[in-house]
Formats: sequence, structure tokens, C-alpha cells
Amino acid sequence: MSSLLNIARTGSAAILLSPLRSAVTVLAVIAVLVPYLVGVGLVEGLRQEARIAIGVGIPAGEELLPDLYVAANQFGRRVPIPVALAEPIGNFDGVTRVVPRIVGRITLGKENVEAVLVGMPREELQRRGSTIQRLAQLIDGQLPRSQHGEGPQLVIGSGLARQLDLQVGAVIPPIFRSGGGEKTPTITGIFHSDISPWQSQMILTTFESAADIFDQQGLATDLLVFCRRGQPESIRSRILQLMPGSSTGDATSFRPSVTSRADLESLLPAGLGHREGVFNLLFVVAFAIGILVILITSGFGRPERRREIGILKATGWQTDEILVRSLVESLLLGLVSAAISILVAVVWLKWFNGFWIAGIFLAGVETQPAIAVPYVLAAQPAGLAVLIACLLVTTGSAYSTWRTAVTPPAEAMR
Amino acid sequence: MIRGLLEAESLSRIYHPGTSSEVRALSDVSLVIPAGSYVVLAGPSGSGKTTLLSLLGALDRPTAGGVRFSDRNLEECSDVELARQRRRMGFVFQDFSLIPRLPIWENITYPQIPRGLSAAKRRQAADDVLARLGLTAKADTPPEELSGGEQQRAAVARALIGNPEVIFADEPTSNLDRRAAAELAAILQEINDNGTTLVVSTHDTDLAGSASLVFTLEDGRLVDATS
Repeated sequence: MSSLLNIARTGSAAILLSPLRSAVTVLAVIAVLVPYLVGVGLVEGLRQEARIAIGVGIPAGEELLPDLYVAANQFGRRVPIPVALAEPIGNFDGVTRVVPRIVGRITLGKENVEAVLVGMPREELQRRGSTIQRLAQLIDGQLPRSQHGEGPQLVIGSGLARQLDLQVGAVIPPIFRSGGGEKTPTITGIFHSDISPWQSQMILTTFESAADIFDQQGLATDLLVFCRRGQPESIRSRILQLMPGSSTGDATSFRPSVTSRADLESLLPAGLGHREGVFNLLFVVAFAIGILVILITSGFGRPERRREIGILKATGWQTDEILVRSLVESLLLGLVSAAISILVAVVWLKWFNGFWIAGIFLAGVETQPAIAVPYVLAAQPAGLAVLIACLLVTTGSAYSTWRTAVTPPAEAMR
Repeated sequence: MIRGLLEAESLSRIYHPGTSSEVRALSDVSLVIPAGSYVVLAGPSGSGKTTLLSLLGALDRPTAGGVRFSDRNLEECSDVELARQRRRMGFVFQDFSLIPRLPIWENITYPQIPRGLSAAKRRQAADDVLARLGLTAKADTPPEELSGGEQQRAAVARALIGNPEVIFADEPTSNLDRRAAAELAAILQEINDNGTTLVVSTHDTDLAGSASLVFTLEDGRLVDATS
């Protein structure tokens, strides 16, 4: 046992005996591991953001987030839903309130910057304790209050504000021509730059102004239904019975779609999974290249290492003892590499805000993200990084060490 | 028949056999090295001295023939068994073969690490041997900071540390100046006087003059044996 410990100690000392080789090996592992850790951290961060956004874990009836999202489809595409449906749905037993919402895509400025416009009813924006009211704390300025026919008041995302060089109080050129004529929008607020990426390119306005901007009165993108605890499933059935369905066959007929939070949660992995899958595929390629890189870098100081092994054999070391020494050296190098990689990944995500790599996972985010990118560096990927690092270094060095160790010492030392 | 500590029987070594670069380094060499003797392998460069030394010291395997060390036929030994046999031997190489950046005391006790000796015991053993060879002050110095003569003495110290039955030295004075070579020759003589068998390959006539037995090689063949 003591001889094994002694041999293990020489393995750790061997790291310093070949400093160039050790440094190159560590750098090669870091080059493979850091993008992996940063990527996984971003994916987890985005997943967590998305889960928060759809209220995973918040029980029905908490009034913070809707329990059901009611929308309309025609030929498999989303179509507007009449706002008038909010009233009969609101009368169902167990429904606490129904909020119509407009979500649409618009372009702004000469550069045609794309943005997502969200319109929420004025009373909802001012409702105490609502999610929107909580959002107000993350806004520099005020929530919009504009009514139908007035110039729209807008709260815009930090990304948009930066791209279009807009401040609170600024007016922007008319972005619509409705039956009511041109109205000049005013910026009443800007989302903080450190809030969720979803708000970076978002414009928030009142439901009434959004209807004016899109010139579609009496229609909403969807109806947000808030229910009492334990009620959503029965209310979903009743909504499906209430809505017209396709039976009427006229131009206004549509197929109803009622989505619960659980449905959204189940859809979540699919969206993120695609990018994650592409990333994982790229990482498998990087991992394979990493092994080759380690094999090549293990060539740094190879004649010296070969000679060293030859000397050990000549002076009575056995092949298995040399392999243990090499294994300990590789494992320690792997641990050091993994620790540095985790540290670099945290720095990359925290202080460099996912510079460059965030753009791979977040559509519309530039090389230098304007928003605080979400990330979660959990224990599992960190542990996996340690495993990968040890595997990489061991795989890269084990074969050459074994080959040299079974070579007659006279040849190895030549 | 004389039974020696080391016996070579029809020893041959061919490098890259069957290829265009085939080299017949040693052909049909038989010799006996008695225990406690001071043996010199003499001959011009390329005559096969180093190859013979490597085969006798279990650092290489012969193409044909065999070596008997004490009671063991080396060609029958497994890799593990060969390593054990090497622990009964000591080696001094022409280029010293010390591990760079490793302090001398650690360098010379490195062979003892797998034997489970604690660092304190190894240090004690190193200090004893280094004192014997006049290297006490250099114990914590890495080899690259030592002169050629000091490095070769350190290499001798490494060969001595395990109290081997035989020490093989390959051209030990060839990289040394006259004074250092003379010092080393005296050290080797002292080692032999203490009962350790010495097998030295050399061009150095002074070293050859100290030998009890000189084997002369030419073109891989043993051409003379003088006692």
C-alpha cells in the first residue's frame, strides 16, 4: 500500500517534471471543456427562464400567471380570437378573470428592426399584485396607459432601445395607419438591461393601443384564463364546448385551442432541445477532436517522456507501476483542467456575459449580448466535465505510456 | 565448467531483422562473468559493447541465445520478473540518464519508490551514498545544474543505492574530462573492491587497466578474452 502511495506521489510530481507537456495538455482540455460548460450553462439558464415564464411550479389559482391560454386556429395556423368570447368564459364557475392579449410582430426604424409587440388591457397593467405590476419594478419609466384612439404609449426592451437609440420620453415615427389616422407613439419606459432575454426585443403597450397599431379591433391573439385551484381541466372542457368549432363553416369559424401550463411545460424541451441537440452533436465532434488534440499534445516532450520511462524500467520499475504513475498524473491533470474550465466558464458567463456563444442559443442576440444572459452551472455538468477531462487526458496518454513501458528499456532510452 | 554470476550463451542481437535496414549488432557471443570480478568490454565504436551490456543487464532481449543471471535465465523471465532482476543490478549510462528537474537525492532514490520506502528513509539512504561520492552539497540540486563529472557520480550513486550484485557502466568516462574520469575510475575500483561485480564498456585504457577480465569485441563478435 505504501509503495502504491509512493508511486501515486511520483505521478503528481511528474506534472511539474514536464511543465510544457502538462501546460499544453491542460490548455487542450480547457479548449474542449469550456465551450461545453458555457453551452450547457446557457441551455439550463434558458430552460429555467422559460419555466419561470410559463409558471412551472406555481399552482393553479395563484393569480400570478394564467392557467389556460385560449386561442383559435384555422387550417392549422393561429388566427385572432374574438374578444367577445372573454365574457362567456369569464362567467364560468371557477374562472376568476379572463384577460385578452395581443402578441404581434412589427418592424421599427429605418433598419426595420424586428420586435414583438405585446398588448395587455389597461386595467390588467394597473392591477395590484399582477405579474405585469411586478414587471413595472424592472422598468425605467412608467407602464403604458394609452387608450383607444390616443397616441400609443410604449415600454420597449433594452435591446431595442439601444439599437434604435431611444430614451424614455422619445417619440418615434408613426408605426401604423389605422382608420383613426396617424398617431405618434411615445416611449414611456424601457426594460432594464438585466432582465430576461425575452424582453430585450419586446414592446409592451395597452391592449387598446395594440389593437390600433394592428388595426384589428375586437380581436385578440389569445385569452388568458385565470382559474381557481383544481378547476383548469373542467374549465378547459367547457371552453371547448362553448367555442364554435368548425361546424359553422363560415369565414369566421375557427378551431379552438386551449393550452394549459402543463401543456406548455411539455412543449418546452422540444424547443430548447433542438438547439441543445445541435450543440451536443457539435460537442461530440469537439470531444473526438479533443482526444486527437491530446494525443498530439502528448507528443510535446515525448522523447523526454519516453526516455524517462526507459530510465524507470532500467532501474527496476514494473510496467504496472509506470502505468499507475501515469494514471495518477493524467487524473490530476484532468482534475486541474476541469477546475480551471469550470472557473473560466463561470467567468465567461458571469463577467463576459456569454460573449459570442450566447448568440448560438439566443436568437437575435449579438456577439456582445445587451441583456444579462441567463445561465445555470449545475453540479451535474460540472461533474461530467471532471469525468470528461479525466477521460480525455487518460485516453490521450495511456496508450503511448503503455507502448513505451512494454518496450525494452534500451530501446526506450535510445 | 565455471559458474559465473552472469553467463552469456551464443548471444546474438539483430536490429530490424528481415528489413533493408537490418543490423547484426552482436553475433554468437558466449562469456562468463564471475561474481566480484571487474570486467571491461573493450572494442572500437560499433563493435557491439553497448548491445552486449544491454543484453547482460536485461535492458534488451536477444534475437538468439540467452543470458543467465545468478540462478535465472533472463530470456525466460516475464516483464515483471525482468523488472525484479533489474533491481538486483545497477546501471551507469554514458549520458548519465538522470531525470531532468528532479533533485539529485530524489533522482538516485527513484528506483526505490516502488519498494515502499518512505521519503525520509530514501533521503537518509541518498545522503549516505552522496556523502560517499562527495556530492552531499548537491543533494537538492537538479541534474542540469551539475557538471558532467558530478552528474556521472550521481548516476553511480543511483546504481549503488539498492546494493546491487552487479553494476553495468556504459562508457562512463567518455563524457568527462581527464580529472573527472580519473575520479570516477577510482570510485568504480572502490565499488569493486567492496565486492560488487562491475561490467564496464569503455575505450578508456585506464579503466581497462583496472579490470580483472577484458573481453574485446569487433563487429559484434567476441575476439579476445584476457584476464
